[in-house]
Amino acid sequence: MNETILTTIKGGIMDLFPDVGKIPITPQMRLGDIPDYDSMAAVNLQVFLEERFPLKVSLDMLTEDMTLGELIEYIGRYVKNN
Amino acid sequence: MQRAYILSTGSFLPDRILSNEDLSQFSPEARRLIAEKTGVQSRRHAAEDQCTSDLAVAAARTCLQKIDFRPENLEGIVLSTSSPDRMQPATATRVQHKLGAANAFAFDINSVCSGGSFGIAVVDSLIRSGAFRTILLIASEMYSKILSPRDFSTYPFFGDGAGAVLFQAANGGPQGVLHSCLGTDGSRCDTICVPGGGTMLPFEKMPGPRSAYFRMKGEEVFAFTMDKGPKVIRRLLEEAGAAPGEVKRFICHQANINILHGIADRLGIPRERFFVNLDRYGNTASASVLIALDEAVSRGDLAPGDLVVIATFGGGLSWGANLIRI
Repeated sequence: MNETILTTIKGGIMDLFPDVGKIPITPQMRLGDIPDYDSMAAVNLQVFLEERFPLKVSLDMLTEDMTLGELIEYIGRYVKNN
Repeated sequence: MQRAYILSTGSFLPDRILSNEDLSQFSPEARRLIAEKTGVQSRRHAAEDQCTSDLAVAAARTCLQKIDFRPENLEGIVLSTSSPDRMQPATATRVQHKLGAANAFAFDINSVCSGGSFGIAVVDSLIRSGAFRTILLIASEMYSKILSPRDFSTYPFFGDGAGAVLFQAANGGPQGVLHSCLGTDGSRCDTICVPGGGTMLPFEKMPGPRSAYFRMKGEEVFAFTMDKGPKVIRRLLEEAGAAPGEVKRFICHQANINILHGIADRLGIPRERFFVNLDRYGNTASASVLIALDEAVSRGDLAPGDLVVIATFGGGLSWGANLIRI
């Protein structure tokens, strides 16, 4: 399941943030590693996540320090419990 | 040389008002950020069946009707737009036809959000050349149709609208465009762009529809504006030999209230001398300063004899300023 979530997130990041270029998108990647990641970019990621997964994500959660691994874990847990 | 002076102004904003709360594709916490980051409270969006030339014609009619000026007496139409009806021909040609300005030449300029200042400088130069006496400058934009509704870094901040200014040769009086300064830094042409649909990335090679949408690196643009905005205004006034205290109103590109306050503070000019309507209309790109100029004149903020500074900054990256005596 986590692999599927990572694949979806990868596609979203490459589409939303084309400047990510060849930076490897792995579970260890921090959101702050996305070029020009700021509060506006966080909203775009929020819109994407809430469209692709049946969940609610708070902007407070999508900080520069959050890793994709933590995000994947949150999504997996949320989907399982709701 | 006869400089260009302002004979009339006009503007047009579509009826449909969208408040921040209406942008329900974004979460409530995101919607609160819109006003906090930029001061924008609402914006106007054109109807589905309207296009940029419709707004341009409506603004032009308002401008000409104020002084009963007949469109067939226009010698030229210069239209600033970065959201044209079509890739070609120039949107100005549809405007010329719909307006009934059969004797006018018509062409477009595209300096993105700086188009208002660039347009004023171009029209002033055409009139100063002595070849033309009466030219209508229009700036018309419809960003609602070139933005992704899901892109929070652009969609909430822009609106649709058009402004128009009728210029005529000044006949030696004190009024008119006294001085203009223009600048461009093409090394930063990717900072604000629509990547797809041109020859760099033709439609058939576009990876997806997102490539056809307007894009902007907001933080970079903010820093650029805070640097160039005060500099171009200072340079304009120095070259024209005018003091900031002589200027009645500063009409800057309406992108962000924090930028307007920042420019005012850096120049040591009271913030209240900077005209603001971005709270109601958002960023209307190149149309913003012409809409603001029309509002300032219409509500009596500017009267004959007053000095006004127009200052713009935008894609290119580009910047410009004009000193005008009303």
